[in-house]
Amino acid sequence: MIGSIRQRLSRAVFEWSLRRSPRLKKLTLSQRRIYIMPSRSGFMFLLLLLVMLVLAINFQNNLMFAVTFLLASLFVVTILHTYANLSGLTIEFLRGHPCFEGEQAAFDLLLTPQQRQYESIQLRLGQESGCAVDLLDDQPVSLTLYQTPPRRGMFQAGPLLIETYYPLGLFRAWTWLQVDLSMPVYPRPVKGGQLADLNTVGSGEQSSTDQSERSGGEEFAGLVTYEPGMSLKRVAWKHYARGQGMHAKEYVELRDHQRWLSWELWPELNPEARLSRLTWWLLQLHQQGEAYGLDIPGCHIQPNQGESHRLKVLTALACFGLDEMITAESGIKQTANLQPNTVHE
Amino acid sequence: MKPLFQLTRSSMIWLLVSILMVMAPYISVVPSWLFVLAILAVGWRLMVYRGRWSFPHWSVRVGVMLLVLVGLLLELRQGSVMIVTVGLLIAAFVLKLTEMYRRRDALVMLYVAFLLIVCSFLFYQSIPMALYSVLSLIVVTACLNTVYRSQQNNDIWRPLKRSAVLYLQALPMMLILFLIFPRIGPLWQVDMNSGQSFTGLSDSMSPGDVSRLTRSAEIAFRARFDDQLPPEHLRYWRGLTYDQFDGRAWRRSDGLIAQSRTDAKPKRQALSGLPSTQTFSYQIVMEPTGQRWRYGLDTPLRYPAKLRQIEDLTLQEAQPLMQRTQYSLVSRVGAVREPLSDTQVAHYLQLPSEGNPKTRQLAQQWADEHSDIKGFTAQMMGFFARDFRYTLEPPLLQQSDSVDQFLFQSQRGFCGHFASAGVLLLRAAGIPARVVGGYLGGELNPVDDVLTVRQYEAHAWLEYWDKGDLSWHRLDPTSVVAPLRLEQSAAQLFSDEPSFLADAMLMRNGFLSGAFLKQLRQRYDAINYDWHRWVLNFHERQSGLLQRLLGDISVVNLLLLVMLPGALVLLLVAFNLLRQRAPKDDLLKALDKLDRCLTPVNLQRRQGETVGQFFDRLTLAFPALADEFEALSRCYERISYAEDSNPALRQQFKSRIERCCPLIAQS
Repeated sequence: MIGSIRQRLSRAVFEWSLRRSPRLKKLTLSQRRIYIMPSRSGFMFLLLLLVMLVLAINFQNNLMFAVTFLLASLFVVTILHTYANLSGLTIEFLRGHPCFEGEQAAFDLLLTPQQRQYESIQLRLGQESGCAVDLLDDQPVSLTLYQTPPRRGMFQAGPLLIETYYPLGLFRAWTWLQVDLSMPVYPRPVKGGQLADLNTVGSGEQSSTDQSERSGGEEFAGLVTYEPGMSLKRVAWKHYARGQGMHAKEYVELRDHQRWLSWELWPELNPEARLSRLTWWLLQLHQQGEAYGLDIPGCHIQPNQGESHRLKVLTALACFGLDEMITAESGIKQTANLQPNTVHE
Repeated sequence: MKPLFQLTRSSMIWLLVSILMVMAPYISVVPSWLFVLAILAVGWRLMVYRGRWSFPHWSVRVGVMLLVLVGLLLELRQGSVMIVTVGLLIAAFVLKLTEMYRRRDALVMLYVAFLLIVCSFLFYQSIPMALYSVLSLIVVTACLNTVYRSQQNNDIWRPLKRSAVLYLQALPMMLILFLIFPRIGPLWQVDMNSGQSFTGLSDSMSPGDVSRLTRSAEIAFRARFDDQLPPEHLRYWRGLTYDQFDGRAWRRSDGLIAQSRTDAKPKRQALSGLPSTQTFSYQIVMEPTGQRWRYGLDTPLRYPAKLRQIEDLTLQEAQPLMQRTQYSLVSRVGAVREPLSDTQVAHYLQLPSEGNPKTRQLAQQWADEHSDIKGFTAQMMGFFARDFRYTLEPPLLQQSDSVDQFLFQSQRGFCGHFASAGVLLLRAAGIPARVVGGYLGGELNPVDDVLTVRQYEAHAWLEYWDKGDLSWHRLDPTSVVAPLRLEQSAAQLFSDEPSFLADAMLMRNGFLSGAFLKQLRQRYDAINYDWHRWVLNFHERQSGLLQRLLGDISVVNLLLLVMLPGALVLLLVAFNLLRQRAPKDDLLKALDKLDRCLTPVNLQRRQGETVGQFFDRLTLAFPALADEFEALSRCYERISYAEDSNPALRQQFKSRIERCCPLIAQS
């Protein structure tokens, strides 16, 4: 009974605090955002004080009174300390890392202290387990939080909970923030189908590519500076070992067959399954360094290769049929809208 | 396996220190086997911490808890409920150590530690103890702090500092709360018996009892007189009277205690008629005795409502005195006029049917010689003065006819012997009489004018009733045997006797050695007296103090007294906590100033713009000031990047900005 009231109350406070919080990239916590209440152990402490007070009254013991009042004053002073442990902290949402459905999405944050020490600040996104940080030396701290998106699509992270029980656990100061960070969640790759299928569908379309590359096979074309996300198989380890920096070998696609990842490849599958299989093949093709294009309803991407192309295609797959952002809570409701016929050609 | 709550190293250290500090005051209070248990539990916890052992199986814990319960129940048969309760708390406290799985378990332990600190005041209330408790509180709070710190932050001293700062900030509010919190009576009756044993008078007295008290230098009570001190020979502090004799020991009868006087509490007018040399008003701070009677100078006339005066004019309280108490009295000295009924007269003539034949015979002989009571008492006092010696170590008397033996053979004794024999003589001669137990004298502390009465000043004398003037008169045989006892303190009188202060060697030596020690002791006593009056007995003085502070005590006034200083203190703390520690760099301050003059034209430095870019932009906006901005930009770069710490350069930067501001405003 009391538990359910408690839950509903905290739910109401949670929603109210979210309504008051606009989506921001960066903000500094102040009295407008920080909420503070006695924690569960804080209430236990009050009960303890009551017991002490009754003892003091009954034994007419003024030293007992003194200690009881000292602890009561400590309780009050702790409010300020707990509040100060959040106040003035600046949170900046740096970036989100795209992920596949079923994986945890990572988000980078930067916490900047306000020329003061902060200890044991706990952060978490949604209901995921979070992490605790100390900011002791007046330096900004960057940290990564994780959240599992419920499904593919453009995922909006959050809400972000920042809370602290410091210094004595008697009070909990917290705030819920709406995070202005979104990134695509790609469909879960599922192996299946045949590569040959791809070829038959894509063959009619290939014509306009450069003739000079038609000699067949892959050819080493040179080195480019390595960037995160490039396949490790392409790293020029020999150069790296010589201390010449991290480079990736670039190959030029010489073969004629450009692949088309087409919606129509597996008509027997439902849309989500098709997207999953397309994603798997996309990753395969990318790994083999082949050029590929995307042809799904509402989206037509010319064959190409490289990292940026891969991201472009993956994002197109992620967002297929979804106009709205998804959040950690809203994902399940929208599954119903995903009929292929609702997608306009 | 349940998830394990990992104590950090600093948590572990502070937890052990906390346990040590919290338990130490209980060493002489609770059974010692609890401490063996504590050591075992701490040892086990340390082994778990080092990863050698695992936590004990639940059956072990339950078994140990049952054993502890049985042990404490056995203890209950001889000890008090209070000690057993505290023992239970301690057992739970140390056993919790062996099942610390979650953070909540650590919290339970620390909260019990707080409770144990509070409970230690049931047994000790001295100044050192209070200071020690504050120290314990700081340590336990430091431990509580470590529980809420992250694992990587392992500085040992930081929690202690944090905790001390918290308490410093909490202190002002605690003082206010202490001052104004209404002190109401106990909510329900509690067993105040904390198992202490007291030295002092008891409700039966055999002649040797009083001399036993001279071994102790413990304080019986302290008195502070409002205006004048009674002269030394009048400092008779009555405690209780003994009216029944069984041939060996004196007792007081139950009927005496049960009856309170009907004419209790005379009005103010009754006092004004008396000469001021005979009335004294004073406060007494009395040490716990475990008894119901309260000491007062001679005959108390006015006394607080919680006390009642019984038939023999001594004061009684409903409950045994288990804690130091404080009360104000007005007393008068001298004979008390009090008509006695026939039954009362018979009561004060009670004697055992047989025994001490020689004494009875002597009394009869004197009664025949003297028809008036004055003559009889003079004869008796003369008899004592002639042949008797006053000593702390009288020879042992046999069981029967002990008074005969004392009067005619040993003739050496202490005040108890003389009072006892005197009353026997008086009663045998048909004069109503009783033995009075109390204290005689007191040592005046020149530091605060407080009279301290110690156990070695315990005394016994007698009172007889004169049917001529219908009054009780005091008679002290000791005054003729050892006249010095009235003028000197017992300390001076007995300083050669080996058994005097035998239980307080330090005190005895303190008397013998120089004045410096004595002065030091007196100063300490004065502080202690104020501690008792103002802290330990604050509930007795609260309303008076508040009245003086506030004028009248109303809810509004009280609230103001809490709110105003409370809010002020909290504001100060908040300011201290929330202010930005490091002052802003003076270059940035100068740039801020420039920003302010640029506000009207909306050219302030933008977010993310470097200082160089900013000045470039300003050069475009104010071509006339191009040189100035160029110089400023170069100056800033030299300070920031070339690390040229020449203060002149900073000064130049600031003065240039000062110069620019009016120019910008003009254009």
